[in-house]
Amino acid sequence: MSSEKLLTLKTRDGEEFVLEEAMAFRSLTIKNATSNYTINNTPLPINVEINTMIKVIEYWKKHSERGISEDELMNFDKKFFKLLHNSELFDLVVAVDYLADKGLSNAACEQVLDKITGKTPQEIRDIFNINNDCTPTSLGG
Amino acid sequence: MKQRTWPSKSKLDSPFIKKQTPLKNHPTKNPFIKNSKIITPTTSSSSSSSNSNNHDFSQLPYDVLLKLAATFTAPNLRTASLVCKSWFEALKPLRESMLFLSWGKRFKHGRNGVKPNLIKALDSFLKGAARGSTLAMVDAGLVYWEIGRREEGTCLYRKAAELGDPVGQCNLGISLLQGAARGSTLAMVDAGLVYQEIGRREEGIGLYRKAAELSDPSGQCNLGISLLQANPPDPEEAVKWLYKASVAGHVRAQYQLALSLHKGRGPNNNLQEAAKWYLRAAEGGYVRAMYNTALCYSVGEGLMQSDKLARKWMMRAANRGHSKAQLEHGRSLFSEGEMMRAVVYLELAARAGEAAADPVKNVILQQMSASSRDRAMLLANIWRPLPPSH
Repeated sequence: MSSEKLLTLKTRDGEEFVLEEAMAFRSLTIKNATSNYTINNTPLPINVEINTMIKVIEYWKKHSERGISEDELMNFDKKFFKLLHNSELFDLVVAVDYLADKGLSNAACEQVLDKITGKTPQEIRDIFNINNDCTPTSLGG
Repeated sequence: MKQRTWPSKSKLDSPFIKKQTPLKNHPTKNPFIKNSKIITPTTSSSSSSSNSNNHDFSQLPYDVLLKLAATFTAPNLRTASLVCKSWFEALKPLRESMLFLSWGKRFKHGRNGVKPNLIKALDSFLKGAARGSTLAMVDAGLVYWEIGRREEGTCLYRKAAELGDPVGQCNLGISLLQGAARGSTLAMVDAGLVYQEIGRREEGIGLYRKAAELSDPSGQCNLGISLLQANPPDPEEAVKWLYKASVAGHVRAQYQLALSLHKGRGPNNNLQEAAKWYLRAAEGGYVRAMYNTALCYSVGEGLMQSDKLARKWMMRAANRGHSKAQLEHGRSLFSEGEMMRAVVYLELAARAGEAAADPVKNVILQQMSASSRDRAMLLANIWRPLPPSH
């Protein structure tokens, strides 16, 4: 069996889980945190909730698979993001920015961009359910 | 390389793309983006379960939103700014970027009554880039490439590329390829040199031309020089290539360009341009340019007359072994009463074949004691020229 180093992480809402170090190090934040971190087996706290983390790990697992083709990955990504509610997408975007994983970050941001580009402000508000709190005078232009 | 003076027209043929077609509600035609940007309506018919503030896109952290919007054009940015107060606040730096971007374009192309000024354009673009817009980063990168500061240009393309800007990614790719091509252009120039040495000039020029067209400054310089020496010479094309190499910082090209402009072999007999390029080459360490620069300063030709600067450059050239400069410098020292130093320089000049050095040198020697004469000769014997680059 692989002698992979394992890492224990603890989410913001108190859940602990174990992950292969190599996979966890896709997150620069986690990687940097462990380099300063001397006590073994104490879970590393991360500022992400468990639900979001599950999604992140699902993505990481797929993108770490050996022998997977570009096309398969593209299809996976499409489905992966399609199934996300806006609130989940929001959480993912914020979490991934915190975790500093360039690949997932770019993918998630592209999703948001797709929804925004070429739309009017009201259309964007409708998509994301944002309240219109802008008054003509409150905006300098 | 110190780039103090900008050439009046710096139109290097740029291989880079300047902007992409604006994104609309259809797949973009840009080949560099992997996933087509098809706008899909939100799939969750049951929209977000709660409007709890935690998951509300209006609460998107400012830095995340800034990164998202980094690649936006002005219209997209305006739209996004109007979505809600929070987005309006968050996107303020990018709106400032847009202002700097438009100023930069005005300076670059000289619109709206503004005189074209590449330095000011670069300055504006950099300010825009600092506030986060990838469009400003790409435009700054383009200017950097135009003025020969390739490393800095590539760095900015890389920044834009990492934020997902397709033009940045494309241009980064092109810069990296050009860097790779460099290896082969160096070989082309070397081969060209050998061809010239064995008398196969046409083939040599052909290789210089290949390298020149791939933006290799050495190739451009050698091509320019070959065209000047060709039969019949082609001064116009020669100057065009020497100019490109000079702007890219190639010191020998700068000197050759100055010579051509000085002697009126190019299209314009332009003394000021010539002197500017002599000075650049001198600053770059080219010894003959140092001598010519000294002359320009001493008679006020193309540069403001200055005895002090003339002396400075003459001495530099002399210390690097330029025999005429040693002669002149020796003469200056003589007229200032610095006999020992004067006679050393004059002796060096004489040894290098400057006959005019002898009369003055002998005058000084006759007035010296035997021990002083010996000392002077010793100094001349142990003298070594400074290496060319400072």
